[in-house]
Amino acid sequence: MKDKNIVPKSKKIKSFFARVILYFLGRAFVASAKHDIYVKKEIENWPDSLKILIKIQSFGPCLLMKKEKGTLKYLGSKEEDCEFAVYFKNIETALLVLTGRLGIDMAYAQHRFSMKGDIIAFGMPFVRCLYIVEAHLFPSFIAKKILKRMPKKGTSSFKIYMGTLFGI
Amino acid sequence: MIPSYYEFLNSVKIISGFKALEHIPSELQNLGGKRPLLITNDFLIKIGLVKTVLDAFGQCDITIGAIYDSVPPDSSVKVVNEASKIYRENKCDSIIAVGGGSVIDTAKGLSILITEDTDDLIKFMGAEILTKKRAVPFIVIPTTAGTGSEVTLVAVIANPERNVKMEFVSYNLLPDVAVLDPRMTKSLPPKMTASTGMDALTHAIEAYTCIQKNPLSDAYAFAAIKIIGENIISAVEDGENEIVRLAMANASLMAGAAFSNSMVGMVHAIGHACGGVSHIPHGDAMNILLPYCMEYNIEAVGDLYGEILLPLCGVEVYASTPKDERGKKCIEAVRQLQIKLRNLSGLTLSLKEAGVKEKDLPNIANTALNDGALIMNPKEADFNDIMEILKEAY
Ligand SMILES: [Fe+2]
Repeated sequence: MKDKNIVPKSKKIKSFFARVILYFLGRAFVASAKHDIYVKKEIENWPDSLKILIKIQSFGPCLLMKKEKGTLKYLGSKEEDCEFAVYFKNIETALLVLTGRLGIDMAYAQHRFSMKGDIIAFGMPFVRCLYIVEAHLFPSFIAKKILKRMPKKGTSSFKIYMGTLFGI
Repeated sequence: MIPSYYEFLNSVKIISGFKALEHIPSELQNLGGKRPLLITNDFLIKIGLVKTVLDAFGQCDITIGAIYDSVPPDSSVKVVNEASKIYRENKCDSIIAVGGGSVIDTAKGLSILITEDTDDLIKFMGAEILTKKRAVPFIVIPTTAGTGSEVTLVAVIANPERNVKMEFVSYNLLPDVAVLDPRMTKSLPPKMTASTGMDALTHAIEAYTCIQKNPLSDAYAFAAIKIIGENIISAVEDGENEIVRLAMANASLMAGAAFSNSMVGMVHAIGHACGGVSHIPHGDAMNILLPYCMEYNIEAVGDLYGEILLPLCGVEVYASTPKDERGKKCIEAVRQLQIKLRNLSGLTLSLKEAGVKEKDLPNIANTALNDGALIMNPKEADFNDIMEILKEAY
């Protein structure tokens, strides 16, 4: 037996892939908060300067967002102390969710992530926003698989795509 | 069907039966406790239940460090902090909760304060955030057969100052020991017996049909429904019957273990909102809403309601009902059970009768939308869907 510490190999490619998806997810959230009336309504009651974090344990990547002047701002892939945070327990299951193979409700039911903060004030509205963002981003055959029911969209998905890609 | 992935934990030791209370001292000693704080409410002291518990400590090497008896029907951060102060002032080293959901939630909140060595609960809100293993022995003696809190991983504590209903979900909140002694539920009046029993039935039915269900939670839920089906009427009719009381306490505990691992759904989401907005008792809300929500969910649950017709009504009814009618029959059986209970105990069957004001229904629906249990429901529900259900149940 070798007597040195065994450090399992890092998952660099998957981690990079997750970082890219989180980047676009963040921008899609921002675009939805700007254009989609239902997302706008959901975040209406959140206090200004509320920070939301999605992190994949143990080493990231992250998605940090902040509510500012009634809308959302993307702050990049950094970790900060937040009022509300979602921590995926590992990269593999985070990718299932991020690539539309596992719905957020099933992921919660399966204990795939932990949640810090006020579930009622932030958690539930966040989940409903995510439903809408997913309905915009994913093709409908994927969205239908992971959503119990297609949520109402408050704007065209084209607008969300343009917002996500070009920030308009 | 085996879920693609699930988790299950019920680490609570269960001691159930006659003279179970008398076993608490030795259980506490095994856990390393010598000076427990007893958490309860003044009503339970008044009717003598706390004395029954204290008497069980006679002739043993344990001192009750203090009794905190000011837990109101809904626990709050102020209550938990007060209990914490008394715990520390009296150098207690363990917790014994004697009561229903609110007392047990208070005790769970106190266990967080002690373990995290803090005086501010709000930092620990959330699901699976508490990482430190509970640092205080914790025994629960339920005095209702309904909430199942003695084996659940959840605590809800109000923070009126910051206007937050704090939710804590963590395996570290599971007590060490749950004590079921028929003496503890014998004095429950018939109407309370009926409504808390229907709460337990709702836990089992929702655990069996919501999206977190798994083979182990199914086993607990199925067994709970069978015991409730066989005993709830007798428990209401003949409260003095200790065998029946013990059966209901066991059913409530099993339903609790089921929903601790397969979270409840829309009946609870809407029911919590009815409690929050209109202050109607939890069991009453559950009882009123259950059949209406089952009707709403029936198209999404496949054969599941049909399956639980067997434990609820027995083999004769199950076998004589064609397979595709069993689901509907199950809802009908719930309604029949309600009517029997109403005739025996005056159980309320509509929201109006329970004291909900019609103008509050939209507020209730909006509140229900933000209840975490709604995520677990087998069928999506928006504001309009919930309003429909509320109007039907009104
Ligand atoms: Fe309940």
